[in-house]
Amino acid sequence: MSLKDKFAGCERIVSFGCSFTFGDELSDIVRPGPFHDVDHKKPSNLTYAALVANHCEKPYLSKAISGGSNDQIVRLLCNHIRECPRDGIVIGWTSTIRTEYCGYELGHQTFLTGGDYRQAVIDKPEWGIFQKAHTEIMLNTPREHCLDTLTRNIFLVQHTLKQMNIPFVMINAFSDFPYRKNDLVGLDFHSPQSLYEWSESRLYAKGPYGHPLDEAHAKYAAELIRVYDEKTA
Amino acid sequence: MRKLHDNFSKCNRIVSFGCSITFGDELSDIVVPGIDRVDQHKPSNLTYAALIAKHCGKPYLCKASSGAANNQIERVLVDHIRSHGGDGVIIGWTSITRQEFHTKQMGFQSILAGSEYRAGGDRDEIQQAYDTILGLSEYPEMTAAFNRQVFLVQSTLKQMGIPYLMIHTFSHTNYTPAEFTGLDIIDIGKYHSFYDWATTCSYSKGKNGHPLDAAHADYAAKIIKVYG
Repeated sequence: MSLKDKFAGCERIVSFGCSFTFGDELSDIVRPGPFHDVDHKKPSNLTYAALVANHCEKPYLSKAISGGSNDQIVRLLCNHIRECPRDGIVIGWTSTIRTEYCGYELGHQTFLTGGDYRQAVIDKPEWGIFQKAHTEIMLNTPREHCLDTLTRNIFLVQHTLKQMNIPFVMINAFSDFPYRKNDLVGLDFHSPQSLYEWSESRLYAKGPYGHPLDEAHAKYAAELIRVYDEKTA
Repeated sequence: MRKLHDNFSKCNRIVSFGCSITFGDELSDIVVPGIDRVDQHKPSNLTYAALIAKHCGKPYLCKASSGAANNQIERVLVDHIRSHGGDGVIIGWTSITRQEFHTKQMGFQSILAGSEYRAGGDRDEIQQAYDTILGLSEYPEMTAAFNRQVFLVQSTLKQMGIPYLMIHTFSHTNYTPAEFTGLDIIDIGKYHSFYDWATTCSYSKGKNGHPLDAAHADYAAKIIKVYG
């Protein structure tokens, strides 16, 4: 079964992930000028996920969020698949050192270890307290534990999608996770390398904020489709 | 009385996951006479979970541990089912205000919000940070996160063809937002959790607040009846 066949019965293809899956710095959403700012309300249609949807001839919806964390991906995904079980899914897992919190009357916010989030702190001082506490916890947590936790999350999400007969494709956007090859046993990763590392190893251009640009996404999507179709032929 | 028995009929064993209530803290077969403490290496065979296994005629293995948090239960469960086929599973979900961390100095540590316990080293730093986070966190979202966790575990067990039975052991896990239905957590009447049920029915408890032998025996009988 080809990738296109896999998603044939879906109403849409919906993506979940961080800035890589959202499409930060891609040409269709970047604002003119040297700083590559993007409108974070308008996801790109040039990401690997959008191009997979395009290849499968399905409408595309991006639920990825710049700066998103893996627990945020799980939250949005669980809520979505219960409401829209006929959508196919693309997941771009992200860095293991980010965590999402939900502050009292503040809503959700993801924090990166050591990040300052100065603007958020100015707007809402409580976020500064979350940031400090998150950094304290992560500095005392072995990196291996973060990777183990991600492995278990992927295992649970994968089985849940299978149980609900929801077609899916999973990749890593960026992290050291793909190098723990033993952990990949039994996990349906559809790319042996993360988008970031794959792009770096092939010297594709990156934006000022480090995101792979249009060409990398296009080639990565083509590779993803090729590898999937070859494996399942 | 047959249905629960049938559910687990093809299992090699029944394995339980949970906190002190599922471990069996203060139950008569493991309490150390005179000092009201239990041997934490020897789980009880008088818990609701052990009695259900007995009812089903299956060997019983307890992987619950006193003080466990829900993410610890999930960790131990996922690691178990990834490496052991053929076991049935009983899960006693616990308080949502506990969280397991893995500290560089002390390994896995379940931390209860506001705990007076001070172990020293990096555990105390994490305890302090966790208390700060919980003090600022939205309670309904913590409950929603718990429900998502149960949803994922339940779907995974179904997909892997693993028979299971899930209960709540503590009351603060019982708030289920209306939008999250379809969780297979057994609810005995209006009581929501084992602890609430035992309290309302005036069963005796140990010095540390755990329901004792009679409560476990009657709760197991109730579950078997409700399930059937």
